[in-house]
Amino acid sequence: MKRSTFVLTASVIASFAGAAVAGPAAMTPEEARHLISRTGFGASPQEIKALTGLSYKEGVAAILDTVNTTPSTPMPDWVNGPDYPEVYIWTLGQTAQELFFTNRWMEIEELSGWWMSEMVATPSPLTERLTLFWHDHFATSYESVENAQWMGRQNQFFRAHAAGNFADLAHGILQDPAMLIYLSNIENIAESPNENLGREFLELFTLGEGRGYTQADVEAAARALTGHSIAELSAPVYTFYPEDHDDGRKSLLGQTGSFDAADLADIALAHPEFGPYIVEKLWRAFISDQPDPAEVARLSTLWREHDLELEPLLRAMLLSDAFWAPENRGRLVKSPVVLIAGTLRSLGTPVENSTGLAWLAHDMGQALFFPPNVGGWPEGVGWINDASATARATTLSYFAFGEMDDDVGTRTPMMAATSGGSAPAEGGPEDFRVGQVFTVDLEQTDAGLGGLFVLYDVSFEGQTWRSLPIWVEANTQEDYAGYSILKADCRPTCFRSMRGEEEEDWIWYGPWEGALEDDLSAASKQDIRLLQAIAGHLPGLIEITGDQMAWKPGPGETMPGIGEIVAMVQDLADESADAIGSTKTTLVQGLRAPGLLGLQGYAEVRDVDDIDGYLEQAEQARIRPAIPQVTYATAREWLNDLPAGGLDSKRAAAALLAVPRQTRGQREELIAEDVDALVRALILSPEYQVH
Amino acid sequence: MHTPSRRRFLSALGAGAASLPLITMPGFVAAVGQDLPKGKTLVLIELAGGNDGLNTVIPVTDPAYRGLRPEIGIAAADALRLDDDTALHGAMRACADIWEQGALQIVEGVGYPNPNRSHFRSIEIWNAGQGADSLARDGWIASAFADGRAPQPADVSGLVLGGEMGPLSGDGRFSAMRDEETFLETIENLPHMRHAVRPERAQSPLEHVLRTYDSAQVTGDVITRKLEQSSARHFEFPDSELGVQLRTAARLLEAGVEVPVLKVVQGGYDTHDNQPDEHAFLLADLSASMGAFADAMRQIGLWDDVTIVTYSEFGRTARENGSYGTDHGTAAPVFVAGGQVAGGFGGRRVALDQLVDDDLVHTTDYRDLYAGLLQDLWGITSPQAAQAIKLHHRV
Repeated sequence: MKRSTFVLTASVIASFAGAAVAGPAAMTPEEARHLISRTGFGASPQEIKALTGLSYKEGVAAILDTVNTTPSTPMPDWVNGPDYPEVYIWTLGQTAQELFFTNRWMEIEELSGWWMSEMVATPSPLTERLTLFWHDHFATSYESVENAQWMGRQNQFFRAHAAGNFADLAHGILQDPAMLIYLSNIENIAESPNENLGREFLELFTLGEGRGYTQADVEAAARALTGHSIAELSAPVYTFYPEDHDDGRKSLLGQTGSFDAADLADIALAHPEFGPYIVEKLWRAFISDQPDPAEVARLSTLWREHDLELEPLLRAMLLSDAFWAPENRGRLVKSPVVLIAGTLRSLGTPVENSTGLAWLAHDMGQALFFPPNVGGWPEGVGWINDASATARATTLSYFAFGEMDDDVGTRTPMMAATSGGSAPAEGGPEDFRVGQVFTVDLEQTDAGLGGLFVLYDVSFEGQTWRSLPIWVEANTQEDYAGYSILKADCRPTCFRSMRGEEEEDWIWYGPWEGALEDDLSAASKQDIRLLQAIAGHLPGLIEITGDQMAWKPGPGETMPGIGEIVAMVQDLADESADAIGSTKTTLVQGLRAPGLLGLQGYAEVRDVDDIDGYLEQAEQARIRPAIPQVTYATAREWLNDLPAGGLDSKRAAAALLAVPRQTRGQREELIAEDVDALVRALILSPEYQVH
Repeated sequence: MHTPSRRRFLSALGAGAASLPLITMPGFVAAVGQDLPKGKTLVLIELAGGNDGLNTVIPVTDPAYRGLRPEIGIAAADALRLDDDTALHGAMRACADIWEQGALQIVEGVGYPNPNRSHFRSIEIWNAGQGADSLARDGWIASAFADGRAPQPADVSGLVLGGEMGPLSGDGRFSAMRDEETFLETIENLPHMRHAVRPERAQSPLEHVLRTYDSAQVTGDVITRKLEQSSARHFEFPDSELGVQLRTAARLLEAGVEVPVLKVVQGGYDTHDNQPDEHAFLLADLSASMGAFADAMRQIGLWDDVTIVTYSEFGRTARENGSYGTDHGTAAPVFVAGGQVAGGFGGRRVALDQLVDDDLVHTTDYRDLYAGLLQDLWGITSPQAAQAIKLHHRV
């Protein structure tokens, strides 16, 4: 194909003329590309064609309509699986401990890979952009949380409210286990407030630095947040501890009262200075690097009129003059994740290993689930320095040349196998089965002896429970002895006939003569049988696992030996047998379901040295591909699917770039002959780094 | 021996030194007619997160310290004695060795008036070097080197090996790279598009990108050449993020890369809870990495030409917080180390019985520290400082 210079020039003029007459009534392909790319990851030929010709309003509505509260491909199963007994695991010894954290690392990598694949495949890229926006805004890092389940559940929380109401996000984040850990709020108690979460809530999450709050407000916010923590013994979820909460009067942002976390969120969001900080941040994510103060004020007012609903705010932003203004094209630097997912979506390129994509993003400075600090990732030109520029060019050259890094894989999609489940538990229905026992605390006081034990993965008469924490004590001074059992974890199928002490989830069993007529008069036969089994088997369980001590005595404290405790528990067992009868069950003990403990691969790992081998094998099984909805085998196929009209080089550039490329003396039609070279030149151009 | 590469560097820029802008910004004054020290390299170590100065340089005999730190205070027996009343955290053996060699100055009580407790705002204030009220975005090094004051000869005015551009953000020949091997492997992937003259201040994100691509290539070419021409010596460094960055710094200097400022970062200092173990781990890494860097510099004969400076966005609260940690605070000591550094204590100790709102009050303005560095190393007079701290022996 030969084209004269005249044709090229005419086409350039025509394309600019086209842009000038474009407008709200009917989007040009360029405008469609702008809307799609700014609200998602790149723009595929299919996506561009679908929106071309629609009005701005219709296009924006079409995109907002896709926003979903759940992902299009399911998250890994374990995200909502059983909680692991993380605080106890190290008592199982170095091998189990390292295996446990190796498994968690694999999980967070798997989750990162899953998210990259979702971004590439989803029919609603805006859902992912918003979820990523909130992950960045309420930045929480796996690095200090070390719990992949919580990071996954936090991601579910962000997407559930991605375009919902900001108040739900602000309230919810104050009850999010990962956040409560990350910003030290589990340490924030009335006697010694910890300011970490209180400060960042005002500075980074709601009002913004220097906007209407003082150090005194930070301190009041910290006090309001005292006692908002996570459960320790039972499944680690958000829990409020009234005894750790400072319910004294606080002066917070001009109001006075005995505020708690919910009040803090309400007061911060009602503050007259709330709004612009968030709107500006959204502006810098979706419109340009230079928020317009008058527009920010208008949008903040509109947002408040809509009770902080995000959807109307986003709609107004996407329909604002600034969003469509030609001078704002190319004003946003693509983040690494947007660059990677956007390139694969734009070109319709599938990859085999989405975890490899997450690693590439990491190399460029954006490791999902690992924001660098509570301020989140860099933004705008902060993404680009000499080091990241070379990393970006290198990654894009992988894509452009089809020479995928080994970490990313070839273009042949290969469906991933999910990791294997846990081995079936052995033992008959009459057995009392216990997966693992952790000795959490042993106490010797003037009054007597006590010990706290957590039985994990407990099965009895066909029921299986996550865990059963049991406090056993003998108080010689006040002459009582017995068992306190936390039923929070085995609820609702355990001890249904037994009432807890007041509001607590602890039930009490004192094995003295007459217990059946007195304390246990209302207890069901099944609950009695469970008590028999617990009392009868506990001495043996403690003896076997007594060295699995979760905590060591603090300075000045003494701890009784395990032998003394076993003797005490054996005495109680004998008394219990006299009082309510002995158990008929056989104890089956051992790691029958290591998956429940988060110890996947336990059977294959005998010592620390085996872990690397297990890791390699297990990682392979967790790989999932990233496949755009429409894929192209060749660059020519891709080009042919673009909206018709104009020179090939111009059509390709219009689909991939927001601003014209400086040709630097090279005539476009020369490289248009070789479509591969054309695409490569376009995505390696500096102009491709912005959108 | 450096002349040919300098000429190539200038021709790569498309400009001789004479064509560089020479407009003098009010305030900064480059010393004229003075025989400037040559080849001085400043190595900035950012301790990100806010380092707890009180448990780094410990007033072991001060009863007020014991009162403020009942749980996480460090016993005299566990620390490394610096003088009768002061000790270094026990994990900092290598730094104590540098102290004993007289090559470590500990500048005490460094901070700024109206301290800000936000990590992000406070590091901006430290980066810009113009006090808490200034909203200046350029880094203090970039401002000091502007208008033709950048030390010459240099392959690049400053290189960031970890973290944000920080003090080096702004116009000028500032670049960033990670380890040199990745750099060598990847630099070729940049499209070849070098501009003859670097654009002026970026007005748009796209201009920033264009400028960065250029800068990476121009800087990359010269660094690549020097690295390829020099045979790598084996330096022992801790296998930590900081250790790797300082190893890269040593490798670049060994290869003869002329760079007045190198910046590295060590994160993790935001010790709100369970501080003792974590802090010991961080300081051990810091000290061992600094010690390894000092050894490497001695091996290649550059110890007298480098000055290492540690800084953090703030110190931490004087009083521990009950979670065995500390919250965001104010002033903290700064370490200055190097073969020509005047060892001993600098600045003035913060009196622990004169806290304001339970916080340390800074005794040394950070701008005086910066002024001392600029004056000693490159003869640049800073308008920001009341007085420059003397940090080095007469050079």
